[in-house]
Amino acid sequence: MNSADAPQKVATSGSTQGAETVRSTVRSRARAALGSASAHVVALRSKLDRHDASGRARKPQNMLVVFCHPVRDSFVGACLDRTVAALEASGHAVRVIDLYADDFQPVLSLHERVAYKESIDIKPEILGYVNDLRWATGLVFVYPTWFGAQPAMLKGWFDRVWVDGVAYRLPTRPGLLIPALRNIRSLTVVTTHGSGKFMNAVQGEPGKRVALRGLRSLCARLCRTRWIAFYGNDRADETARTSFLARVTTELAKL
Amino acid sequence: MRVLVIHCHPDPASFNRVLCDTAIASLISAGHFVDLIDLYADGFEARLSAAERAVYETADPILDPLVRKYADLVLSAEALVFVYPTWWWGMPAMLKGWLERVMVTGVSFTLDPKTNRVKPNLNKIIRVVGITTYGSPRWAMSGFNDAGRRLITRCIRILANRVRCRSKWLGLYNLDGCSQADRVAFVDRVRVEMAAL
Repeated sequence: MNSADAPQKVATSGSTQGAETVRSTVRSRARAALGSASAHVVALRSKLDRHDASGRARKPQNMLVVFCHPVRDSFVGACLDRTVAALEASGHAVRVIDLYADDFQPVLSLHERVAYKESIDIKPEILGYVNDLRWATGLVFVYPTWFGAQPAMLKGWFDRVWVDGVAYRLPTRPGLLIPALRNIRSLTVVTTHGSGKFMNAVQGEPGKRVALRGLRSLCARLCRTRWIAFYGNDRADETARTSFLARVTTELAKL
Repeated sequence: MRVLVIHCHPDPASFNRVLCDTAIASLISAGHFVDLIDLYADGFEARLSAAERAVYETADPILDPLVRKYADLVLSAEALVFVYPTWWWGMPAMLKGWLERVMVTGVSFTLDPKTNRVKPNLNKIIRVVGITTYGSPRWAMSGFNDAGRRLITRCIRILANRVRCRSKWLGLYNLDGCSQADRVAFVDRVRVEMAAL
C-alpha cells in the first residue's frame, strides 16, 4: 500500500497546506499541458483536413470517388448517388471513377509483373487513374463487400494502379513502404455487407483492414478515416436501407 | 484425400510456381489425389458480371462453363490449398474474383429460405491451407492484421466442415530482402507440411 502511505508521509513531515498547494499546482500544470497538446492536435488536424474546429470545411477539397459495382441501379449505386450529392453540396470538386463502366481489367498481366519494379511504361488507361490519385486530397470508396473484402475489380485496381512510384517507394532496408500519396488527407469507405456484424467480426473484416490500415499507410500521416458500413443486407428491410442512405448523406456532409 | 490446389501467379517461371510444384509433388507422394487450377494459364475472368450479379441469389447462379467446372472440383475436394503471392495485403484480384464467382450459393454456402442466413456448404472440406509470399517483413505485415491470411483462415474456414476442418498458414515473409537459404528452407517447409497434411 505504498500509494496510500505516500500522502500520509507528506502530511506528517511537512505542512498539509504546502503539500496541497504542490499537488494542485502539479494538477493544473498537467491540465494546461494536456490542453495545449490537444489544442495542438486539433490545430494540426484542422490544418490537414482544412476544417475548422466546429467541423465546417474551410476550403473545398478534391474528392476522388471510386465506385465498383456491376449494376449501377443497385443499392450500392444509390449510395454512390448520395455520396456524390453530399460532396457536391459541400462545395468539393468531385471526380468519379466507375470501374465497371470503364470496363477496367483488374488482372495484372505477366508483362506488368515483369515491368513492376522498373515501373516503366505505365499504360494510358492506368495513367488517367494515376493523375486522378495525384489530384485528389480525399478518397471515397463505394463498393459492396464480397467474400469479406473488396470486389476483385477494386482489388485489381489497387494491384495495377497503386504501383511503385505512384502509391509508394520501396524502402532501402526491408520494412514499411515509403508513402507517395501524402496528398490524400481523408479516406472514406461506404460499403454494404450481406451478413451481419457478428459474422463479419468472426471473419475478421479483411476488407476493413485493407482500407483503414493498409491504404491509409500510404496516405498523409494524419489521414482521417471513416468507415460507413451497412451490415446484414441479406436480411434487411426497406426501412433499414433508407436510414442507411440518410446516414451516408449526413456522414459525407461532414467531409 | 482429394486435394484441390489453386495457383495464381502471372509468371510461370516464378518462385511461387516452385512452391506450387513442390506442394503438388509432396501431396502426390503422400498418396493424395491432386487437382490443379492454374488461374493465369486458364485466362480466368476475374470480374463478376452484371448478368451473374442478376442471377446470384437464384438457385442456378453459375453461367460460365469454366466456373461450373471449378465449382464441381470444389465440391468434390476434401482439402483446398491456395498458392499465391500477397499483393496489397491480400490475394491477387484474379484469385479474389475466383472466390466471388465460384464460391457462390449452392457451392460454398446456401441461404436458409426462411431466415436468409448463410449456411456453410463445404462440409467435405477438412483442410484449408494458404501458401504465400510477402514482400514485407513479418512485423510490417502484422501491423496491418494480415487481411489475406484472415480471408483464408477465417472467411473460407467458416464455410468448411465445422468440426473437422483445420487451417494451416505457410508464409514466407520479406521476400524482397531474404536470402537464397531462406527460400530453400521455406520450400522444404512446404514439402514437409504438405506431406503431413
